[in-house]
Amino acid sequence: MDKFAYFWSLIIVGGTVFLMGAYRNVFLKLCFIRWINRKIREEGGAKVERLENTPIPEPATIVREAVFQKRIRNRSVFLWLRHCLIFFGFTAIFALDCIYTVFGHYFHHYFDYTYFTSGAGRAFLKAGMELSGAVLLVGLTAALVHRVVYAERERTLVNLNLVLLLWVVTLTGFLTEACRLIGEPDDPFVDCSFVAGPLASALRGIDAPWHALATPIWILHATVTVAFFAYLPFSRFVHIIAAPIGRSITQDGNYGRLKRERVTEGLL
Amino acid sequence: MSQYGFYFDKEKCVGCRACEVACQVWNEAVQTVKWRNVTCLTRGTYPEVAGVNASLACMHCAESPCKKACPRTAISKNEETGAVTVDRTRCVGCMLCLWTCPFGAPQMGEMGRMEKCTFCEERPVGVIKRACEEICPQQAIVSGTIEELILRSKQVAAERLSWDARTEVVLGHEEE
Repeated sequence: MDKFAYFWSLIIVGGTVFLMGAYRNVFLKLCFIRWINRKIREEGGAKVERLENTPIPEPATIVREAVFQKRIRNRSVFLWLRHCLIFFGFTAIFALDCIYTVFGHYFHHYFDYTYFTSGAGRAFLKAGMELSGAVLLVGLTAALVHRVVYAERERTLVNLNLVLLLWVVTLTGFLTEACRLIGEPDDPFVDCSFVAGPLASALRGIDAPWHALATPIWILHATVTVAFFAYLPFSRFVHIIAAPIGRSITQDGNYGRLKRERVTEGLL
Repeated sequence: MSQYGFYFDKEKCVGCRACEVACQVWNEAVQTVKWRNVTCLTRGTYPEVAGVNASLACMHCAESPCKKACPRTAISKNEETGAVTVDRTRCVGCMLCLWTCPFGAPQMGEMGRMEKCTFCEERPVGVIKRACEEICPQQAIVSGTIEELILRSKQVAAERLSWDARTEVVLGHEEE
């Protein structure tokens, strides 16, 4: 089977599992919450204006909680830094990967658009993906070490298997790129690969059939990446989807106070 | 399974917040935010003023909406007591439980995980009173099985109606 045929089969299976998980663990939950809140409103009782309208995510909470991670910052600078490295690294590499897939692959294929395949856009994407991958790898390594050292305390906060899976995804990504560079030493954008480039140089010194290993490592990377995305809605990483929605709508807990006020108002 | 819960008497509550303190003291080891909150509301202007105090915590609902809303099945119901508790090793702090709870009971703890009343799970149910119940100087909070609490509620209502000085209020003949 052609490696891209395998890749697209994986994407279809992984994407289906992801959508099923997102439907079951996020979409249905949100529908249930909307239904129960509407039922409470319709059944009467006291009115609190901000609870009567359809809740709208609060941008300030999203910025404070998701972008700046203020709550984690209040706990510890190290934990905040670790979380920021993982969050920004993951978000950036995911976005750049999407840009590369859409513009570098499909636009190139169907419209002969070459800016992201051989133009300056390619250098930008390469450097961006290397940087975000490195940031993600550093954050994940810090998380793994911290999780192992403070196993008891961190057990409630960090899922070791999940972090390990994402760490393997990132590491195999660099290995895949390094193997490609071993096979294509004249790549004009090799300078942009400031992590995979030196890694390729180091691997060349080891006597192994790297060129032959390139495809199996690529397949391994693709498989673990799709496995990670398929597992995402069933794992703790579901907070990537659920937490920004829940936290911004509940205004970081202020919503609870309003609900208590409504109950009290009903007793008046 | 017996379903335990709280009975709260708004006529007795004086808003002293002793229940909040007792809850925090008893659960000191695991509590980082207030699980029980007293809300004091006043409406109107003198001399037409109405006020009420309500001590609210998790009601341990029979059909717990928070449990159904949790994307990580971190919220479970105790099979013996019906107490609804959060497993912090599974919680991701998305706050969907707070969004769905009619009483605004779950709170975000300092560790980024949701916290709520555990029905004083270390205290044997039916043997020792809950911390908030034990401390309340007015006995405004009472815990027990739902059947007991419904019975108590009816008794209290009946007593209050019998004390009512208004002659027109006769139980079962309100319209006459």
